[in-house]
Amino acid sequence: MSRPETEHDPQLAALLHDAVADVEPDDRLADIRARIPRPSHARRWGLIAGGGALAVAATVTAIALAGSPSPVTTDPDIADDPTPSVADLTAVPAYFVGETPTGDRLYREFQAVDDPTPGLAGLTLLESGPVDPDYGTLWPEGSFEDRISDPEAGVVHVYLTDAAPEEPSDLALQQVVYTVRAGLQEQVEVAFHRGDAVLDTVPAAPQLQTLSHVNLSDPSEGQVVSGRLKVTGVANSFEASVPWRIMQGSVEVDTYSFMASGSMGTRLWPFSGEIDVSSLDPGTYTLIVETDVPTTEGPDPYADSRTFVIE
Amino acid sequence: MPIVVTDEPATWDADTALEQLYAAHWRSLVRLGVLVVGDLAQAEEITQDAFVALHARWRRLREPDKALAYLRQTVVNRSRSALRHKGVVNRHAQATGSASVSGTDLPGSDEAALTSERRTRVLAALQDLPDRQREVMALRYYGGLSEAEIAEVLGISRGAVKSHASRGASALRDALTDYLEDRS
Repeated sequence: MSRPETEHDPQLAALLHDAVADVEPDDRLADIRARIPRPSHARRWGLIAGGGALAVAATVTAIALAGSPSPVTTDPDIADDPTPSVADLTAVPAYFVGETPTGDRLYREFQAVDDPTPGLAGLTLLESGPVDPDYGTLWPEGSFEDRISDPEAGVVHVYLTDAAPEEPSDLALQQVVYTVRAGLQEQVEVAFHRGDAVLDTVPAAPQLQTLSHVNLSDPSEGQVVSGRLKVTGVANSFEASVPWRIMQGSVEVDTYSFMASGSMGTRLWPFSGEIDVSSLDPGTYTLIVETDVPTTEGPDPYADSRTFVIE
Repeated sequence: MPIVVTDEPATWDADTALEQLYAAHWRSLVRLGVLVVGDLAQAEEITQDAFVALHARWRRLREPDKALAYLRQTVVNRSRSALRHKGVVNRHAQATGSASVSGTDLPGSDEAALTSERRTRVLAALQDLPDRQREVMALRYYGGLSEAEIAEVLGISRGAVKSHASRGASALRDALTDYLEDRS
């Protein structure tokens, strides 16, 4: 099939090599190094990482988003934690803070909660923190009073205590707004109270300016997997392509990409797929998903990752 | 994640990869850039950008070969957009009558001057080619890439590479006939 190469002209090659033979560029390694962005550690903000919380894989997402939170009864992807029994648990979404190439943004994580109060359960998770060690929260333990209003005229009232940051950042406020909306399944604004004062009423900021452009739902952090790895998540990526890699340490063992259900627009689009991991040796692996970037212009890709275990 | 430095490229972190690839390819990539963009300062800028971009991409590339292909591609693509910008500036300069005439300066007659004149004319002949032809010439005759490799770097078909290669070579031979031995 292959056609012969066009004749190579050694005289032209010699002329081109000669044309730049005296070009001795300056050493720019130091300049290059100086231009490389160094990820600052999430904890510089005093982010609080999660303790012994139980993460659930979010194959219940579709159900949870379609109606009221649903009991997780038969989901085999629940993280391997013997207590409490998964039969009584519900997957509750909460939005945590993580680093992205465009600064800190929100990532959604599902955690299993026993008999959650809609809306309030998510706020409790914001205080107790994420399971994924890459995320953090801007709300210390005890930040919220143990109450939340019903939605009324598109507004839900949330009550802060003195343990809450004195002047919560915009991103901290969005952590609450997005978490409350996901918990209640209603497009509400959140009125923040402290004592008798109403601090502010905050609508949801636009998704593409607030959320990481790629966010894994499944697998959950530390999930034990055999045979096939189920992956779900949401992304807004060039041409709907969501490249993924499986790493063992720093060695890439597999890579390909998922296709999201849409691209462009002003939202994140679901993606899902299964990866055959039956040939992987027992051990701990990291799944990394990224947004696709068509050029080297603009920011680096967004990324999210999960550790999983092959036994 | 602990940073592990070994000689095995697959285990390089991005900083190590940057260092190794810079040591191996900085000069030849700047030279490639000079052939495409015709200007050293600009070629250095472009190649520097390419290494910064490489650092961010290293997690996805992992292999020195892929990384080199990525660097070449980035240098060539950025050269093209730099030239597009320069084209606008030059057209503007010509329109306002301030175009540089340094290319027509007569050289002296000693060996160094002849060499310098030859180099200037080769670079000028390259600059006179259409973008794609110039890129293919630089990758083929300076980079030593096969047509298939060039097709991949430029994201065009192999047939297109063939056609640019043949037209580009023919145009260069015409322009540089003084420096080529008659092969007939």
